[in-house]
Amino acid sequence: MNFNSLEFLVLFLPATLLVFYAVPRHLRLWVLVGASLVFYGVSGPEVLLAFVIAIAWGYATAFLLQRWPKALALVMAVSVPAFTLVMFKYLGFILDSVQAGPDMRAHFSFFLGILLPAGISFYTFEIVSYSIDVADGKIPPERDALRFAGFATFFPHLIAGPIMRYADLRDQLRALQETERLEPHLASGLRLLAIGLFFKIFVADISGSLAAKATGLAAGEALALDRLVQVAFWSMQIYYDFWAYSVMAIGLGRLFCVELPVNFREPYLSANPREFWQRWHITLSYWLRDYVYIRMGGREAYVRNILIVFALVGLWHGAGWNFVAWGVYHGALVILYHVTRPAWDRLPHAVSVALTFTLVSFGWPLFFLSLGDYWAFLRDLATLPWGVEQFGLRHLLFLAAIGLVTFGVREKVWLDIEPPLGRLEQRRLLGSPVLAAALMFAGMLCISLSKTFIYFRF
Amino acid sequence: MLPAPSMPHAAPSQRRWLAAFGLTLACLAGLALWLYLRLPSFRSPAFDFRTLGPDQSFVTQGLTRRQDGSLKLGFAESYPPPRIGAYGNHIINHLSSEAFGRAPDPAFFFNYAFANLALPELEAYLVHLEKLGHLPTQLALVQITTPNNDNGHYIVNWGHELPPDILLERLVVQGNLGDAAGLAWQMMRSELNEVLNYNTAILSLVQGGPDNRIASEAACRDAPPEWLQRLPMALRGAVGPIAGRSFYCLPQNRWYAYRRDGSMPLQPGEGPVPLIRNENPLKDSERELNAGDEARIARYLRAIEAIGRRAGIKLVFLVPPVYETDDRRDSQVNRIFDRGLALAPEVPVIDHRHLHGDPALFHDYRHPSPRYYRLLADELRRRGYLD
Repeated sequence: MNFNSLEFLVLFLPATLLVFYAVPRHLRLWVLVGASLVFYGVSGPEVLLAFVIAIAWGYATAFLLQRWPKALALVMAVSVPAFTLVMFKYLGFILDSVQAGPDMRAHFSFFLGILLPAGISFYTFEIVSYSIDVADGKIPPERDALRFAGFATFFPHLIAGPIMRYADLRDQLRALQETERLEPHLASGLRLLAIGLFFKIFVADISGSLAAKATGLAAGEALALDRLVQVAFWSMQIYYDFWAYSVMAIGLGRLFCVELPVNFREPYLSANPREFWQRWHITLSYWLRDYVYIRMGGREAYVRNILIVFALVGLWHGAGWNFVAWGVYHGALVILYHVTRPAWDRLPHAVSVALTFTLVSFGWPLFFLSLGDYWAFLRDLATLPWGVEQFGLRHLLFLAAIGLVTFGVREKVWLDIEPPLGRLEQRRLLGSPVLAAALMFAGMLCISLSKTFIYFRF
Repeated sequence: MLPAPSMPHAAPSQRRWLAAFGLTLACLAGLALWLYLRLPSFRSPAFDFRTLGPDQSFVTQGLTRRQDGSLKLGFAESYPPPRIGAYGNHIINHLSSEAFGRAPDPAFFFNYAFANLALPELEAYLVHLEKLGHLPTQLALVQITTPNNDNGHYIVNWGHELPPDILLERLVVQGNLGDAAGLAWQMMRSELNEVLNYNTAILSLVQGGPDNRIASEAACRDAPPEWLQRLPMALRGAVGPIAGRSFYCLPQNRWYAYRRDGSMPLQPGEGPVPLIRNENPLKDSERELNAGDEARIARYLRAIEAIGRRAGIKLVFLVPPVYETDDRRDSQVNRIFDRGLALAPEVPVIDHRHLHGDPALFHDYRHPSPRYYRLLADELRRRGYLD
């Protein structure tokens, strides 16, 4: 189920909220887990089964981590979620890469036939992080299976993050089970839900459809500036698509008294590529830092480790060489910053922000194009006449308006995403319930135009 | 005894905020509902396609999808059925009586296809017509969306195309609780998406009755007013109906029309649109056919075929081709679909996916041309479906 669907907003969410707050405290987590399984299960019984097996495996093997030799137990614990991830997400890519013929593919027809389970990369990383944290002795294995299931299934973060650590949610879930009278910040939750929905439909999806305007055109139908504008629209589409999801997820969490971590901190205002990754998809960056980069030795072999980590970032995003190339490109940017840091840091702030944004933006087409098409795209940029054929003034004005919001207005002024909560409710316009309701209604009315969140595929 | 439920605690300022939010949302939702309810129905009273002249067509530009479908549904419910009926979705919009060597004649052939009907809704639609005794008297041709056309969409998934009463008919006869629950869920989704829809809201404000929508060469002789032609495209649909018949006579609008046999005319006054091959990505992450859907495909094929048998008429499925390159043939969705067909070998299916490479058979990559339909008619004759 998608957050940007009427069945979710009008049927599923109100019903779940109603039941959640109507039942006694010891049943609250049951309601959340049940609702989350329904939320996920509408994608099909096979993907639900794979998900349930991964959760049960993660829960059960945590106890082995205390009894068996650590390395063996950890391999055991991670094996099933990792196997599931490889078979569902990467099998096609592996078979394509080794140019497997129909006979070999026939052996894997079961896995190839099943649709990529939504959010598989997210929940696999969460379950794996739990196993590693238990193995490292950072947290004890959770005995309460319901609480563990609540962590893995909680629907606001289930499909596209933020990637949670068990330690972040454990106490909050316990509070749901034990607190007699919950004090949710419903107003803040609903505001974020409305703003996220609005931005998804009216910024991310419109940007995406405008970027698509210049895709697949015959020679001569697009000029160099069309390509540049297309890159800008892709940048805005990807950012606001994922940002909107994360904002909605935090809002939904608040409706159920669960605070999810912020996943984006105005990343396009970053002054260098390293800072960008501290502000973009923060929970993924920290996951890879803690569980991959540091374990490989961190700064001891900086260039090698950064390239490996970013190749993994690319592969995590999608099973294709274009995604690997995108990851390696970002790794190269981080290394470039590392070696030119003294000069880079002396640049005026506005220039370094513009430079970082430009470099990051030229990576985004790899999300949409194959490697061959990407080279053709860059060649177009270099060789086509300087002019605009596909985009008119109204498109550029739209882009300028998004740019103004992105670069000109700080989120703390208008988004109630970080504590203290409730500040904005005092503001006449920005905190107005009428405005929030109007944004949500506008989003719902145009929801048929909306596309699936890009990160649902990851 | 059960412990008492505990409602959340909210400060007075939050309670006020929530009340204002809820009230505003309720008012706006009420407005959307009102706009939905005031949309004219084209189902009852039904429009009689037989009243259209040979060169006339009923322009559907500016109708909601539900109204568009209801136009044909109303005709199917209220007027005598033809000898041959075609059911399916927009892919076969251009299938007309001319393919069978006849002038458009709703007594001989009627094209009931609309929107994105897939097998589940087609089953409900045909069962509804069966109850009314309004199935075609000789042959029902049921088109299935070609898997590669849209990466497996609109084959076994529900759309939001049929009105709720038809789905309700299916709901009450479901013996299986799971199927009934699934259908009830689809009904709610369908209605929600119809009521809370910008298209419904805008069209409800500007839509007129059916009279101006009947276009013909004679009726459209006058040039449309200058101001109408100068309006930006985005505004034209919303403001255009004020201009009355002139709006529906605009060449780009007359293309969205049904002729007296329910077929959609090819773009008038212009040559064929540039033919581009199907390039819809066949991404695994976005396909709508999944392992396990083979059984559903077979189940729907059998259920629909049984409707024809019960009515004592011939019923054959059609999988039209899409214009695309050879390398797309071995797609995951095609493989799943093939396995589905293989599970119901007794069901007659004309599978034309192999005709994907001949540009003469296409109007655009997914809508076959009149030449294709003549070829189809020949095959129907050869296989004994036509007298």
